[in-house]
Amino acid sequence: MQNSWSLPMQSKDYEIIIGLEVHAQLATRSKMFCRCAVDVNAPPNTKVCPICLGLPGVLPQANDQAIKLGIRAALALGCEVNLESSWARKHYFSPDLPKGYQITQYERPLAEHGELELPGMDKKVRIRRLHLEEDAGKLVHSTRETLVDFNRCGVPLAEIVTEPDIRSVEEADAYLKELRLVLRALGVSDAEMERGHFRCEPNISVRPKGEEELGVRSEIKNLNSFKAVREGIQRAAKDQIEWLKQGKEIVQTTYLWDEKLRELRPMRVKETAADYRYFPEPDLPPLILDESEIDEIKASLPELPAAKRKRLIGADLSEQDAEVLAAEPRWEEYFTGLLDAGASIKEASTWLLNEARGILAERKETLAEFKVPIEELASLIKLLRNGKLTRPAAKELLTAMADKGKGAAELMKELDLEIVSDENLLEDTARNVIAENPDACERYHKGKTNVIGFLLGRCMEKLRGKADPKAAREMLMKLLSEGK
Amino acid sequence: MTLGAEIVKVADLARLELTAQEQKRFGAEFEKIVAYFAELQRLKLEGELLLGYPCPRTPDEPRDYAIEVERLSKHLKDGYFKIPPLLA
Amino acid sequence: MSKLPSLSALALLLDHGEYTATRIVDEIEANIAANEPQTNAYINLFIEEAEAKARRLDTEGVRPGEDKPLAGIPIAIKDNICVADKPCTCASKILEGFVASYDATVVKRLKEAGAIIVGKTNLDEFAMGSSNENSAYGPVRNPLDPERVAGGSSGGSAAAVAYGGAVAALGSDTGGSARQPAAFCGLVGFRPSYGRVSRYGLVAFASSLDQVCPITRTVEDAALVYSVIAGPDPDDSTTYPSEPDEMDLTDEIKEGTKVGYIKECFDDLEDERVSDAVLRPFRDARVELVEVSVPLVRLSVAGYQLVAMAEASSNLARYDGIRYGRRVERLGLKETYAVTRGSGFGDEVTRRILIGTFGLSAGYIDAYYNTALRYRAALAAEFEEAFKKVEFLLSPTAPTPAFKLGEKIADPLAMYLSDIFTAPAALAALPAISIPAPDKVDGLPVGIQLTAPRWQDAKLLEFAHAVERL
Repeated sequence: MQNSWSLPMQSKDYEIIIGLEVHAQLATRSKMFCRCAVDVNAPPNTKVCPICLGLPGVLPQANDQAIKLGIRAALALGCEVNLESSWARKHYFSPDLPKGYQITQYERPLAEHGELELPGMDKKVRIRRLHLEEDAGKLVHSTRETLVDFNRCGVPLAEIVTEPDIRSVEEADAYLKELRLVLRALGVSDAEMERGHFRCEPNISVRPKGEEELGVRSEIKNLNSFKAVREGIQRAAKDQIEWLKQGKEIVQTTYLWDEKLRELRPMRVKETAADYRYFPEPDLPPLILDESEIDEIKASLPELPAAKRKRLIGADLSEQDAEVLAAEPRWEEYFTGLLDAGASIKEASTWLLNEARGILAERKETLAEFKVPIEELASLIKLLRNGKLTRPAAKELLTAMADKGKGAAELMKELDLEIVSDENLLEDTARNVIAENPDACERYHKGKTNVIGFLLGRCMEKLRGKADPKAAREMLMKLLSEGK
Repeated sequence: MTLGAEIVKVADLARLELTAQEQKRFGAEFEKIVAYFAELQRLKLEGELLLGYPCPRTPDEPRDYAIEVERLSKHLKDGYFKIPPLLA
Repeated sequence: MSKLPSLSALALLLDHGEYTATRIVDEIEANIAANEPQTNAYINLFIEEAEAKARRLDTEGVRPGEDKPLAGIPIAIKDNICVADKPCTCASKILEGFVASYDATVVKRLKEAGAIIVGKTNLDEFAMGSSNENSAYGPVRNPLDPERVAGGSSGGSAAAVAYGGAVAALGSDTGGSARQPAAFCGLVGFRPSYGRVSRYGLVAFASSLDQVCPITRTVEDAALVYSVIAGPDPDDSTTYPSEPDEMDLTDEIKEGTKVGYIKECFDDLEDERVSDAVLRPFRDARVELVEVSVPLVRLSVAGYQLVAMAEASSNLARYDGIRYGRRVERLGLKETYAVTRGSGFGDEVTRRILIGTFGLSAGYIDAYYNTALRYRAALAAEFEEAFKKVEFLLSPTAPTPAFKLGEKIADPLAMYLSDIFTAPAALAALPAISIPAPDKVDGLPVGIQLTAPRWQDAKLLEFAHAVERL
């Protein structure tokens, strides 16, 4: 594998300009302009009706929920929602497009002028527009024939278009991940890239640093993973820089990402030179929104990942922990559950984000597979806080709980992990340790009092880490001073 | 440029196969028809005709339609519509 | 010609038990047998089903009433309106083998009102034409004079009603396609305000202009059919959201009703006899007839055709052979598209798709399509001004009575110009009706066209009904 993430040395003289178009599938039950169920995994052409198949005489009906989800996403992205937006037809012939046009929004989109802050980068990407449209069907290719399934045809999409504000592969990656988080937090889209819920088409140009004018763009389609997006952008930028250095003219080209060969395949110029002949959709009057509806949706927005991140960092969480919680709704849910069950942020962060996460990472498991329910981890934390467990014993207990799925108190008893604070047992153990380590005792008496830590360690060892550290220390000091 | 000269491009855009003779015939007619239509340009008018009522919105409730594709087409395979290969 | 009474008369006769549905269907069948070989008004007939339904209605004693105002009334449907489980050809080869899977909203409402669907009528391919000569199923001849056209594009619907092959028919009107054939066949053709009648199931030609229209013997018949089919429809987002106004048809014209005759329409008429035929009934009536100028109507055909062709090029993109209808398979997909469409569409449809595509294409859209949209708005504004002075506007429906077959088919622009008086109301989304003038020209009927302000459909029908009596 070549070193694909770094640009050639001389490329530091060039600047990469990236704009991103994202198509996010909206989480509705039915399609954008008909009432067929959204179920792309159903047997082919079973979730279709005269409307989405484009039979003669049919007319579209706009899905209320899709409009609401679009507004929700727009508000979360800081867009101005247009009180009047309009529908348009975009024409091209393709076997997965039954009407010969796609219903979309063109001149007046649902929303405009938003922005998205990239986490940890001190950078905002401006969003040019967000509009609603319908998806196309699916094509299955073989050498002998192409097969068409229209189950996906008409599924609602929000297209979110940035200004050309992105300057690196890392920024593009951060934008996409943050956008996905936002859409998921809103419940607007499942936004799973691999399942095609979240599709990205970047356009890339390069220019010598210091130059104002934008270069000629390359566009990439068919990118179906974050990795493919990164590689595709990298490759397109690299090629353009190479051509500029060789003094070649760059021709505006649309590429298809070849997932198998992991490279860009230019589409034929004819396919690129589209003339979409947009015009207002005569079958749908303009979409007129009420301020009050927009206000209502605004009031219902949940805390967004960026705000959550800020709140958590403000509340004594490390940036890294805050990022985990902001990025992974499951972890955040578990974390919040621990807090609700009485754990402090510090405790929850230690036992969930460090210890439990460590155990799962070691086992290559996800949180969904974690056998310890929230209330049991909370009770482990409580046992520790109440002095029923030592820290090492608590770690051992957690590992056992993760193995067996049993409750904290039950398993603590079963494994005999409860703290030892019994005076007699502690005294016996301490006496043995003192007897076995005369040298250490001598040094203690000569004033090296920190040797007590070493002796305490020996006690712990003998009691399998369960000794009450405070009581054991006191016992040792008492016996040592007696033996003086 | 006139439509007569644009005929080949437009026919391609509209996916209509025309014979050379048809291109010539339609091309000649277009010159005349489009010239007549172009008279509108001299009027220099403004405005937009509005329908006057907003787009209705339909509740997001799925309905089963169960259309039988067998009744629409005989070019089928395993429930898919079959077309000539796109990626040869 | 047919001795069949009008729809409203038949409804009364049925109600009084003086006629049976079976008898009406039998009479219609006889008229069809006698006229169809020459007229060619129908593409598909459902006589047996019609008979069966008539018998059932008669047996069950269902008569026209509140619930079922059209019980037992045979109606013909233009073959660009879907009837479930019947072919819908649009008179085009491209739809060969296609069977509709659902009822258009208007058909559903007719069936619910008890109407009997007799058959699907001939038309210009995809409703594009003014003579019904552009049909893959052959031209329609005018039952009043077989040398002449029945008009178009709803030529089959008009001819069928004219010879008694149906009591009433549904046509569609995009720029005059119901009013003009009604005028040519001596019938009433009513185009409702755009948005009054659902288009769901009407195969789209130009979506912002298409309306389903009754074609009937009398204004009262048109009003009856209209009141069954009109009203909001959740399946058509462009239908006006409230119910249509109630109507009260009386024979009297309201004293002092102001009617404006459109100056430009009459000035441009070549045949003065047409103008006389249209104006005469009003001269003696108690109406105040004034001259009104709507200068932009002179270019209505240019504005209308540009909008209609652009929308047609879009609406007809779906006929690609992939999912239904004709497919001529070639090795590659693009060739399959081009050959399927090239061979499936007739000359006029091809011509309009080409010009419409051109009018929307990059570099031309502003000069053509967008210019036509601005023209359309300005024309609507002129109408609005005119309606500040008068209640109704008057013009001939067409510049001439029915012309001869073949007379204009070789000159597309001349054919387009026969819509010059009907296109304006369509562009401005106004209701308009064509009723037969009492006087004929060369023995042929002439249409009087009345236009009203938007949503004044009921008032227009009331007035037209009274005018019909003059």
